[in-house]
Amino acid sequence: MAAMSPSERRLQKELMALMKEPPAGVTVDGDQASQNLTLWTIHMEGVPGTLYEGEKFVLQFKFTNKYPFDSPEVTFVGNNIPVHPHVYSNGHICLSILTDDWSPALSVQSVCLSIVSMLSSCKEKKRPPDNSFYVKTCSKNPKKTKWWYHGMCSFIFFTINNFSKSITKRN
Amino acid sequence: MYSPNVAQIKPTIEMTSLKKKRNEFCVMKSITRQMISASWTGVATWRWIANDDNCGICRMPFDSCCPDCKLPGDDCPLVWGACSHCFHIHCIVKWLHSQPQQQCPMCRQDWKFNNKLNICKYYLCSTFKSN
Repeated sequence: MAAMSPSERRLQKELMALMKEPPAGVTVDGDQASQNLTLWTIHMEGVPGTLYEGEKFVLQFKFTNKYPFDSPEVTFVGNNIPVHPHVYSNGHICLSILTDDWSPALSVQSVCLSIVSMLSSCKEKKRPPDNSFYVKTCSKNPKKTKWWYHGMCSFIFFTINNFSKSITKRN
Repeated sequence: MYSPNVAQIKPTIEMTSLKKKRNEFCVMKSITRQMISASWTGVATWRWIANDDNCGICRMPFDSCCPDCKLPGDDCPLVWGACSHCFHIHCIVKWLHSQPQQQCPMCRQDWKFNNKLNICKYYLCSTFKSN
């Protein structure tokens, strides 16, 4: 077996821990993840007693070889994207720990818990106000979006791609 | 507390092998007393005294080294921050270099090295000397 890179070693440890003791309502596709450590699929169930009770979601985690110094790319995938003020209909999530507030002390498990708690604390099921504009203009990779995090998430954003395009046009 | 000889001692030695060594030594002692003074070997185990078992960045045990190193000990030391959180030096430096703001990954306070703790970095937890 080829020697594991530092990022793979940490991911392998996290995978073992997550398969052994997953948080409630969270299951990782262990076979897929162990075959390709940089792409994980995680199944998530809506917490009983919340607006998402009985719903099932699928999260996709993509890791670079700079993990854990670089944050994972986390999106909802599949045909059930939660209707939530911080989740766009293309699956992108507006969550500060996924970009600006990422820390290498965080893990797949803590990100899953943050997302579970984000969903569970929701009071009204609705899409972000700028959803249709964002999904038309955003990059495929949510990490390329310059998210502006406000308390109640006023969704002002620009994607790095679009911003540079608009500058070029002006010139 | 801090023993300057520690660095010369093999860091991976385990208690089982320690006991074996001691037994061999006792046998040797009973056979010839002359040899003993001629071949004195010090054996010790050591561990880091940290507030956690694993490095919060690479998740490797503190008694082991960071994933970029091969041997634990002096070549891959731990460092403490003023906030009392501790990491492999290679891990925290890599993180601080990748960030515009220097913050502790655990508590997000501004990262400052705790020099007092970093100087007295070793604690000898058990020693075995052949005298």
